[in-house]
Amino acid sequence: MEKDRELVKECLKNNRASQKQLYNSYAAVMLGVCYRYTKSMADAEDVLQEGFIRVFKNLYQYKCEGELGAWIRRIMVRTALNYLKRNTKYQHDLAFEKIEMHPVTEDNPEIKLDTKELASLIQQLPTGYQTIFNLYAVEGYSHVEIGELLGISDGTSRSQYARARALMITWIKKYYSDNKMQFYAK
Amino acid sequence: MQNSEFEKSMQQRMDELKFVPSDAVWTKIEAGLPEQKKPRRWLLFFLLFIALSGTTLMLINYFSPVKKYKANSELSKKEINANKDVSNQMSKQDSHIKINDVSSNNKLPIKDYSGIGNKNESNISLMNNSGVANKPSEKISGDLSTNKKIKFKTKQKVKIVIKPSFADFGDAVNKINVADSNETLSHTTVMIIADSMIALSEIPNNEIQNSQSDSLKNPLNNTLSTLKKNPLLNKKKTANRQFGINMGVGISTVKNKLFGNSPLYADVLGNYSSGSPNVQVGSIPNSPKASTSFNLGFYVKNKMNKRWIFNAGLNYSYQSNIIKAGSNVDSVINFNFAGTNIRADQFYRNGQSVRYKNVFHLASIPLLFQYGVSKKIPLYVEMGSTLGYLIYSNTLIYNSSSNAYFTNEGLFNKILLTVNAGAGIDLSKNTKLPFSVGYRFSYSIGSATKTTYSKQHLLNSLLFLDIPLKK
Repeated sequence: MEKDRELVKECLKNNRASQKQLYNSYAAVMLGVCYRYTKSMADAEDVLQEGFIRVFKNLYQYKCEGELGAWIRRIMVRTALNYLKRNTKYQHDLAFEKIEMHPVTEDNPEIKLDTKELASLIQQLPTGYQTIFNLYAVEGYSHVEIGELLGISDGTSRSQYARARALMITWIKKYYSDNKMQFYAK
Repeated sequence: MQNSEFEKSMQQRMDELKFVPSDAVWTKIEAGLPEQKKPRRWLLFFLLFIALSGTTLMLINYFSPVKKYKANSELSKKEINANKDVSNQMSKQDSHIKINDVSSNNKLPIKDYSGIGNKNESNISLMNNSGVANKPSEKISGDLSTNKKIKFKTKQKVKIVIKPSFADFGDAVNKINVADSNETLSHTTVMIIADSMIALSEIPNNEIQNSQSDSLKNPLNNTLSTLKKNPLLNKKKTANRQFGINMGVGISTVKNKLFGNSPLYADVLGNYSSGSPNVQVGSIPNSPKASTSFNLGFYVKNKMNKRWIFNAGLNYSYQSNIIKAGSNVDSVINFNFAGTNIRADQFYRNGQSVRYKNVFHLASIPLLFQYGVSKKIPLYVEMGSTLGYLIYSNTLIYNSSSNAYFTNEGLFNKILLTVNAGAGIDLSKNTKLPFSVGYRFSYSIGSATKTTYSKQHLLNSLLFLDIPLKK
């Protein structure tokens, strides 16, 4: 924490070496975050780049009260959402339609897939599902918060998440069966 | 639900997700960050102001015919201290030192360095403090701006030594020649400096020796009184230089070229690499509307002759024009524009919904030549050029590949050469309205924007007012 504080202090002085140090500390994790929200590594790197520029420009707002990594991560998530909203490639899939409430499956399979394989499955979800799945299941946002972030109702968020979750579980099972891996369903 | 095993497991797994970004990412981030140790803008402006002021003063001095006036004044100050010794020096002069009262010579011409007066007097030499004789046979060397001795030879081959610090008299300085003690003099030369005038007079010694005039008892006093009575010296001089402030108000715009209606925004295709403005293709505003312009500064006018005046100065100039763009998007955009990677913190979509004012802030040095059309009417025409430095501009450039307007400091040319033409009426001799008013048109020869991105020549049309600070 103290180390982060010193690093932030130097970054605020526009010390390029410290900025690079901060970037090196968090870039790999944050690229993982960006990767989950986009469809390709190239797009993920674009989001990462834009996100870090925002981080450095808004670093004065960081009060050193929470973890620096969590603060940067929130900026990355918001940057990714903005990117999806303004990019034609994603816009169509982000048009959330009101769908009937889909019951959330009680299926809670144990996940034994490789981290990157799992991230690839998330990437294959339709953008709307992918976004809500990431926000709810991975980031831990509530449906109300997701509704505010995406400009949709919390009900829509719940429905979308239920579908996304069901799809993910199906794919995980299928992935396991295709690769003849052992899979333990709860 | 959020805390179910599935979600917990998902969070845990995704926290472990890491990828090493390519090196290009940091390069792009670095490009988007402020420059390290960026010089403070006010310091830049201050240095620019000093540089422009210095250049202006140099130009003024270069064109000024009154180069050495100050040196003479300084000389006078130096010699004031020596004045106390004048009477003692006079009484101690030996027989070889002859003093001539020039007041006894009614025809003594007094000349000034600018050439006013009769130059054809045979026994008068004119010199300025760089040492100039008016006849080839006369040699003058030395520098009056120092206290060194000055030697010169007259056509009578009489060697005379002038001691500049020898005498001073009130606001005039009189220099008395001192003959070489080893030579017999046929003439005595008197050098008189008063105000900006210098006269050397050679009088045969026998005339002086035969003279019993009381004026010889106090030749310096008489010399001064003569000078003061001299109509040439007392003639009110016409000021050759005029200082003042100038201001102007008008309209300005930008054009691809002076004549014709070529599209303003170059249709340079770039390769879009990231970010998508997602815009509807609409019409591109190739005709910016004129908007306000003004300038403010100071000027110096030097009268070169009866008809021509050279006008230089230092100005701040504001020029603007208006275009219509689409909505503003507060998001970083990166793209390749004509082979250059461009990054902008925000951009405008293509469209017509937003009225945007492009502004240019310039510091400039106008160098104008004004020609008086008639001796009776104070009308003049002018032409010249202006060297300008673009301090700042927010002008939007359009990129067809990303369909967006953006601005970036790297898009502009900092140095601009402008041609000017105009006409005015000089009322500076009018006691009630001592101004000069007129119209001036200017056109920048070079484009304010780098031609790779867009070609924008500045056009400015304004009414100006010159107010002399001292008539």
